[in-house]
Amino acid sequence: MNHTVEEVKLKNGAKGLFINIPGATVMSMQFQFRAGSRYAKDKDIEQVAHIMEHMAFGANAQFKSEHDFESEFTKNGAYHNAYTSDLSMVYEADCADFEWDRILALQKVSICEPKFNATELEAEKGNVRSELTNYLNDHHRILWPRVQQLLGEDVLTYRQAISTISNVTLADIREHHKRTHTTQNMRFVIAGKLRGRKSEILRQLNNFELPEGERFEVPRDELSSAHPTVIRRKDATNITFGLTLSLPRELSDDELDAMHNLNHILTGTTHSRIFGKARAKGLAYSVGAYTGAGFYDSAWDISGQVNHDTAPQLFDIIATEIKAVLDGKLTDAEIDAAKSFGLGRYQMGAQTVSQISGFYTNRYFADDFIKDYAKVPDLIRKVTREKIVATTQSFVDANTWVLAAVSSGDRDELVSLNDKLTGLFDKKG
Amino acid sequence: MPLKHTVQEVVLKNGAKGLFILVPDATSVHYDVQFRAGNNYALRPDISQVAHTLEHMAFGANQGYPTIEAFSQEFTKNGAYSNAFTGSTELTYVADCAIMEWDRIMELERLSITKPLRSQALLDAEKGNVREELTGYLNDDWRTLWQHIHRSLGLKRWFDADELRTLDNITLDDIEEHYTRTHTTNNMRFILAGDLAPHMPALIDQFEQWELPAGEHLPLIREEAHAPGLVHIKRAQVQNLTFSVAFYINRELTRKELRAMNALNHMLTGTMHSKIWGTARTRGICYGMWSWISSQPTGVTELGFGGEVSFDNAHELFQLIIQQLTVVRTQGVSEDDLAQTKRFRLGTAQMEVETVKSLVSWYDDVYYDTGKIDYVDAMPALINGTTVEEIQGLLKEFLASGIWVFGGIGNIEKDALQKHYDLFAKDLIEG
Repeated sequence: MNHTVEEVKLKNGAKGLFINIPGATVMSMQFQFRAGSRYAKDKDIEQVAHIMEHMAFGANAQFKSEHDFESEFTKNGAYHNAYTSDLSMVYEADCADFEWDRILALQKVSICEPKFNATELEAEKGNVRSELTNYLNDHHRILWPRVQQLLGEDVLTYRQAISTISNVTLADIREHHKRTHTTQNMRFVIAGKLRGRKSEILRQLNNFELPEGERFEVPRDELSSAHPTVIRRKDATNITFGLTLSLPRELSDDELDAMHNLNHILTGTTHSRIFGKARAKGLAYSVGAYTGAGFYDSAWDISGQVNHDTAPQLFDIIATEIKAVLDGKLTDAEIDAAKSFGLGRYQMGAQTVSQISGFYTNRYFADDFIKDYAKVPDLIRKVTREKIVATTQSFVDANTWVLAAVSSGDRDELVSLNDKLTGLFDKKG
Repeated sequence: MPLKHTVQEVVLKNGAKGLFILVPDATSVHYDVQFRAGNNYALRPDISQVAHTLEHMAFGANQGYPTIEAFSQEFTKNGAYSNAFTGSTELTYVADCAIMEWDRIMELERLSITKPLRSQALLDAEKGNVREELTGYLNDDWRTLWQHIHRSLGLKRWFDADELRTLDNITLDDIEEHYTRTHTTNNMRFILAGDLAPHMPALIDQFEQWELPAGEHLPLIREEAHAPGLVHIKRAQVQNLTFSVAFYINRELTRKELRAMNALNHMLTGTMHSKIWGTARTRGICYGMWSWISSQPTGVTELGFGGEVSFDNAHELFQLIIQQLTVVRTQGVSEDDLAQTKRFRLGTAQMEVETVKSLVSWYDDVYYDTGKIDYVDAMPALINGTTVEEIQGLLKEFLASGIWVFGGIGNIEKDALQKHYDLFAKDLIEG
């Protein structure tokens, strides 16, 4: 879908993107605050942000209960949700084009004028407890907070987070909202058919009655390597593993594109170097690689599921292939093939309003950077072997990494898998 | 609004049939080719994974490419995506690509489906991969519960633990036999979506040249749900209850009846102000639960309620489910509630089916199962046509059939689960 992007800065300090998509029949709206769990006033009420997010759809200045608000919001099929991460709290809504103004007004009242009350607090504590307990059954879910923690991030595991729920009071909820839900701390992305509507959207946004506040700094952690760690699950039938390499700086866009290319070469297809080789030998059904850039650190993850008896062979392949990359053993043909794949995917993308909005939101909400959709092909074409090898080497040189797994096996099993990787970090290689 | 499109059915000379969904200006193409070749068409129960293993081998060597790597390199070089899925009834091959390479991908689909070259080495590797896949599934509580529930009802459905046990029995001859018997032109259906109007004659011509035996369109394997039951699975480390209560009738629902039951499900569990889930959320006793209606062409329809709940809150939640189902059975739903639901569904209809892939998903089930075309444009009329009497009548039919199951998985003893079962039996089924 063709679209244009414009950044708007409100007088009250909020900033956002207007994405005009001619002919769109859906309007998508997202509002982000740096108000996630890391911004809780105290660690012993870490779940305050999450509980507050749950309560945002409760009583407010116009509707006396969650039931009434929901009934009005969804009456023409509109969808809304909110989620809380370590850093962010994001409110999102999708609606049919004809009722964008009604939905924007309802978003405003739920974000700006919630009426937090004790009854809804108790209910949402119950719901959050239920939600996090559900997550304890999901091996992928429980793996990653533990990996973050092992590397030194100041986060809680789900089990630890559950224990903070009962500490949260109504005063804590109100304090968190008041401190974090400010115009300076707010970013938004509105996508859909905007022609002729921008002034009215701006008028509504300028009417968001929130304190001015400040855009919060992102908290910084000092990360370091950790010993291989097993999260024991007696019932687990295989090994769900995560290998994370951390680099103490934000990757540049060039470096990120290089790592995306490499991840495709390593795990993107059934002819890829790690996943493809494992599949060809019948060793693993699922292995993936991902690279992400944070404010102060960047991470390169290789993760998957593997049976106990085939895990040693899979980890041999992982070690061998990373070593090959470090030695520069990447062919022009496979780098070009990964570029060609990326260019094709670019052509197939952006079919929906949500997909277009999603292209921009993560990065904009993170650091106000506006990605250029039209330049994606050029960025893909610019990737070089040298950049891939150098970026991979940077991750290895940082020597800040951990292997963790959810498994019924003992620690010795994971240590032996870990041992297959330690040679990569030996300076003599 | 759904993507603007037109639908044309094509019957090929070789017996295959399919739909072309023509979407002007779409930049990508979705291919969907289906055979009635799923697990239930295995020659013997002791090789029930033959279909799934065959599906895994479909992307191996073929007459155009000597290795899986060579084929994968060629297929994905411009970002095209391919996959395949095996169910109890169907084996489906799918692909997505940019419009610029519709013909290249069509040719590669032909090679992988009609000209595979299978070897013992590939079979052994894919048995390993299938073993990895199924072993991973055993960690999925919801999937495990459902497989046990279907088995308790006597339904012939996929069961991971047994599938794993039979994997070793499969030989290359079994794979070849299954392929030869099921991959025939009469047994093939397809749906293609994209800006394909200019290319339709060429695509039809290509399909006509697919070299497969004529065979026959294999009949659906009918099934019947039997006997009420309790399904108990103890998992000591699961600290809540993954549960389901489901009611069955041994007939297929019409499209209109399905819409009516979807409306009921929306009222009961569709929003945070719904009568069961919404009330449970307001009380803070359940983060996630849902309901569904599933009508299989094999002759069984299921109305289910499921989710995860703490052991402490389970009784209250189940009482709420019973109370609300009893209200609908005895009093129906209110005209106001039904009107609100219709309005919601008509609104969401404006936001659905935005991609070529989602268009294929809209049409595939009905077309593959019945040969009929369930036009997107007909959706508003079906939604508006639902009545209070229809909803109440259908719910009564489910509750009166006597075929129902309550199941749970978690760190819970059978006696405790039996009490929940008894609550449904006494207060809902007998009541």
